[in-house]
Amino acid sequence: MKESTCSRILNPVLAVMDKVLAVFLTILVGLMASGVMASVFLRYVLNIAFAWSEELLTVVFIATSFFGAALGIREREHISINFFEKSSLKLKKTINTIAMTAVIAIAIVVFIKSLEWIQRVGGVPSPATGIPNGTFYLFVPISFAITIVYSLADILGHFTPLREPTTKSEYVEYGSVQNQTGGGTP
Amino acid sequence: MNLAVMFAVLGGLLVIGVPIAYSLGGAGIVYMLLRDPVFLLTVPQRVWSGTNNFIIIAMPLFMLAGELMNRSGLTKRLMDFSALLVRPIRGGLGEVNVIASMIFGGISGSSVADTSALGSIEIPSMVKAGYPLGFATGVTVASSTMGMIIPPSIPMLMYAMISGASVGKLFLAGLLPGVLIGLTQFSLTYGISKKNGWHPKYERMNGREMYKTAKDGLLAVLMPVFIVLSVSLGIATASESAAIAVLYALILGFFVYKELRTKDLLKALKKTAMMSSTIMIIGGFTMIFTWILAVEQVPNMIARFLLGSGISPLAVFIFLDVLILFVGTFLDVTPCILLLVPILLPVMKQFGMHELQFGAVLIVGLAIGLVTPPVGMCLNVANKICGLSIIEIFKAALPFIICNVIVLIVVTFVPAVSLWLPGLFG
Repeated sequence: MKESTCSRILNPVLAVMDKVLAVFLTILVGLMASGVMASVFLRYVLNIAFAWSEELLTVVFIATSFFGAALGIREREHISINFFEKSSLKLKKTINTIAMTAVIAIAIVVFIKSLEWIQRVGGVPSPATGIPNGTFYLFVPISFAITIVYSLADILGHFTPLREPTTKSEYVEYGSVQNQTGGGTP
Repeated sequence: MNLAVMFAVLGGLLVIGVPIAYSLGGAGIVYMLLRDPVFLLTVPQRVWSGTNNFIIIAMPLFMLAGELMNRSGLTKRLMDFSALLVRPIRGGLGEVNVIASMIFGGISGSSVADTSALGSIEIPSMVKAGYPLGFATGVTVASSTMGMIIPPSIPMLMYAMISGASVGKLFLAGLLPGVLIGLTQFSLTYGISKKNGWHPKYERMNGREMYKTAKDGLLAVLMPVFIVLSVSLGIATASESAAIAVLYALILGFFVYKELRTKDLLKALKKTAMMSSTIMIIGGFTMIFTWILAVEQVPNMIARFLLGSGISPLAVFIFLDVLILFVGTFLDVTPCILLLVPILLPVMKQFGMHELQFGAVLIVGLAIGLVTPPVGMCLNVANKICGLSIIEIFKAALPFIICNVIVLIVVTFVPAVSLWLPGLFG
């Protein structure tokens, strides 16, 4: 496939998005691990416990889950069953386009409904930190908007040359099942 | 009718390759559209609540600890340590393979990680030592099933999240079944190896070498022992003990084994984020599904049907085992847990099965699914390592998988196997 205007615009945009999300996720997991370690130290050594720390750590964990899932679309890390692995390339592209369209439709519903949800209950302050819950709930529409962009890019990739993400973790290919690094496969 | 359409949509989305998380979401959305579109407003709230759980923070932390240990050169050390353990009975690499999987299971909590990390060293080493490739691969994949049974177990955490059962007690419920699988597989490997003359002649090992190997291995073994004891005795929560495990892995990797680099740490953090988020988003979307099942009273309907039909609990338990094995053959472990538990747990409770026993039965059964085609993740990983076809590996692993099936039957019909240890620790 020849490089088109679309791929010339999209490739750098996707590269920046991938990098930002990958760094963000690395920081989030680092924060989560060090945060729980710190709270263990405070609780067992200094006998101090902060109610807000548990709440903030849970928020960090939720952010990791939503933004990681969005990047998972780009890096094809999600667990799925691929019945058409041995089909022709043309059929595989068609099926993938349908599947990604379905993901986009689902993500649009979650995106729209999450905005409504935030409007209704987002003003309620969180019990421990007092920060309005809507601030945290914003993870949902933002991450699903990213999911929509990545799913669209996946479809466009069948028609115009788009580069693979450079942020992808090293992984083992699992034959007929699209799942990497045991993502979700204990 | 709405429910039938929902399941049809779910099946359709899965078949065309939509990720399991979004398939569950899509099916739930279609159900709500048919029933009353007002319900759609609950979609983001339910997905959010599915991930909003402090206890489950333990999952990414256990994953991170396992990743760090893996990148610290643990695999080779564990094999050397296991070889030291089988020396007195003149065991060979086959037995080392089983022992290493038991220990590694306690560190990674994952069977696929076990096949991937240990298999890439064990299979070539065993072939070099004269074992047939099929046997080497068969033992490797079958013994790796212990990874998700021996605590700490990531699927057990998922089960705890859905069922509300105590994480510490669940870990203990899985310990004895995991050890039983290890012992039966070990005995079988020993018998086959002895019959075929595969046991090696050992060279003398000096005391210094022995001490170093034992020290390196014991330092790694300390981690799962600490986790299980601290969580089971109620000294620390699962998340706290997982955080300490991460710290321990960092100290071991950076200062004791001295093989961990900052670059490895960053990679491990990113990989943990991806592994954990792909599981958690399934958990989030499953909440929609669970809610619909509750609204439609599906578990009650099944329980009423089974109780009304006069089927004996024995037959129901046999059916449970067959169902778990069947579903596990076609679906990955996490979606199986998230889908089966809300439906089956209330039913099994009505038939007198304890939630801890059900958790143990489920995890032991689903572990078998990892080594059965067509969706056997461990088989697929082994296929990449050794080049044998999935069917060839499955055939080679079959005698060892039978050990798992025997243990599954024992766990199903002898509650004490899963309930004795949790009872002992109160």
